[in-house]
Amino acid sequence: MLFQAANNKKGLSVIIGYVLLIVISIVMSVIVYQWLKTYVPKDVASCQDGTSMFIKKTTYNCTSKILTVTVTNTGRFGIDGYFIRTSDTAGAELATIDLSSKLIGTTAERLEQISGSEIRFSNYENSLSPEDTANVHSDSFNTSSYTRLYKIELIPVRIQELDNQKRVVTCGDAKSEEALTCN
Amino acid sequence: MKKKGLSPIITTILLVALTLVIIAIIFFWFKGMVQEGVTKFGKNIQLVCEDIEFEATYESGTLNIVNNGNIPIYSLDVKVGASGGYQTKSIKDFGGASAWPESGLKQGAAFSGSVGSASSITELEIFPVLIGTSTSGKKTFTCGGQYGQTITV
Repeated sequence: MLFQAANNKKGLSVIIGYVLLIVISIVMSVIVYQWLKTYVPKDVASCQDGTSMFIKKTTYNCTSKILTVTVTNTGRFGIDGYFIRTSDTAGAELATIDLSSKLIGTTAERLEQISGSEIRFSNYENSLSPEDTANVHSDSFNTSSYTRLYKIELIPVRIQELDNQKRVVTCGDAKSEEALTCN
Repeated sequence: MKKKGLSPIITTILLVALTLVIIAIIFFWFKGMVQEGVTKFGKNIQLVCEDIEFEATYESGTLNIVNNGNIPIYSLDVKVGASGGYQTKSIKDFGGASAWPESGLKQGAAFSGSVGSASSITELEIFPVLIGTSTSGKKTFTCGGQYGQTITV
């Protein structure tokens, strides 16, 4: 009787068991893959090390309220343009006023080279090249909206390719700043 | 002995069909139990927090923020410490913060705005808020403690 009871065990058919195991494995693997895929590190848009831009000269006329900035490429890679910010508070740690809209353009084409807050050097990508002997660029700004400016901060910008797309990349580590004195 | 049963071909087809149906049912059932992922630039939004670069200062009642990185900052959560207590608010909820851009602080952009009475504030903690994409649309995500900045007044 005991032997008969042992032989009368009930359970799932082996084939159904296999099907269920395979199904559960496939479903779990798909879900985990989709979730884990987002944690795979991807290339980030970051500025090339060795990018550097130097403020060669600033001229700030407190009477005419014209600010002229001359920059030069002192790095190893071409620079597309820059962000320029200023401060109208003496001793301020951060410059938060965007001066890009105050650019004095000698030509309509030059004014078109403002892209968002970026002031581009030309319509060509990364045109301020370190190899050029004349790798110097000057821009003037009308600062009549402000009583007095005390400092400027410039951050170079590059166009880099990432995932087959051109991206505007800020070179925050290459920020340069200069105190302004009246001429 | 004459045993009756299904043809092997029909059995195979039925098994495959049954397997596929069960896969679909369990998949959609389990998917609802897993927390929805929010992505930005094709990767998990938590990883994007590491790429944020911003500077913050507080002077004379004015909070100054500059985005020096390549990640647009959609908003900020500001934890204000004053009179022994703390209060966390979105930057957009402060009365003097009308200059905060609707679409967020883009690359190279800056912000200045009042976040409360200068005399009562003792500390500010600023946490960047990003906006990402999920299966149910756009969602915001506040980057945790180590990605914020603390300003002691």
